[in-house]
Amino acid sequence: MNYEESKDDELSGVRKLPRDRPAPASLEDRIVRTLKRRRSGTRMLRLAVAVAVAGIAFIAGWLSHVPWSPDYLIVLYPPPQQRSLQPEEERARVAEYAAWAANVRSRGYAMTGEELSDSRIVIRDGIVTRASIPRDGDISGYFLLRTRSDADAIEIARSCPHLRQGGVAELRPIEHH
Amino acid sequence: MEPNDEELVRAFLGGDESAFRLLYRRHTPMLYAMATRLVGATACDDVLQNAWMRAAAAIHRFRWESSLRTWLCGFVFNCARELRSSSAREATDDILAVADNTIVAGWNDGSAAHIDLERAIARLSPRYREVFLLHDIEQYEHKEIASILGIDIGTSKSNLSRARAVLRRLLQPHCEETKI
Repeated sequence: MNYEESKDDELSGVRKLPRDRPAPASLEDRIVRTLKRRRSGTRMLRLAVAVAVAGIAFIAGWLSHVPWSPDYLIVLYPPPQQRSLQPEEERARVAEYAAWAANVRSRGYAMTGEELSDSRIVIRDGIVTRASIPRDGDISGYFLLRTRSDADAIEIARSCPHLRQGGVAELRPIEHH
Repeated sequence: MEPNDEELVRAFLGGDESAFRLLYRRHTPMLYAMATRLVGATACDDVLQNAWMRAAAAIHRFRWESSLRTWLCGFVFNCARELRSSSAREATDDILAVADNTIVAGWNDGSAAHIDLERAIARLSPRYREVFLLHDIEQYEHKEIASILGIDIGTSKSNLSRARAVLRRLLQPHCEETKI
């Protein structure tokens, strides 16, 4: 209990205020219906994609880190209405991105990238703040790409599966010093 | 024995709708009270729905570094903030209406002191109200509040202190009346 400062004064009644409020029953059904709509649809398709590309991704060494100097950062923002993914869908999604990256690398471009977690550690004015709640506008992932050509970078970013899922990709050229 | 949150989340991710409904029923009353005090009766349903939809979309990435309830709370606060920033209309009137209508809804004991208190809380600026609700009603520690609201611990402490000072000032005449 952290209420010592205002004990026995005007605010002592706060302790008796209700912490709960019953929500209307119709709201629960509305939320569950919306959730089900978003979860249905492409589950089987995603699974098939996962099986097809898993081998390619493995061979391409998706997780390897090659020492090279990138020219572009591709910043990925999530779709505005991202729905929850079941574990096999999540694996399928990762495999799809991996296959795409492997394909880009097979064309002679160096590229690597990762998904970002929802956690953030912000350091401002010497103060460290931790947060774990995703916010609108948060970055969901990134790729680093080596190519000197703007046109190639745009063409590669446009082919990223992230865009097909309703996400946004932003290309940021890297300044070399 | 009731399944715990982690078991329910696993079941939900496996496609079990009833697990989601259990999670919803376990945590919604607190989240709904919070949403009502943040945005009022007109918008609290939308805030709750948005919060649950976003939480459901992100729950496979939840790492259990905090309690699920704390994590869910963050979505309610984020959705309430977004609503406030996107709405030209000030929600204070709605929140004040809720304070008055809680007697009808059986939300509090209907005493003048409770109604005055709810009305005073509704009059706090959002950044003071957020910290006050989390600390003095939900009894979160400043470290958790900082994480939920994305502010530093010092700001949480100072906002709470200012919130209490404003509330005492708002409540002063009524308290004197009740003492007589």
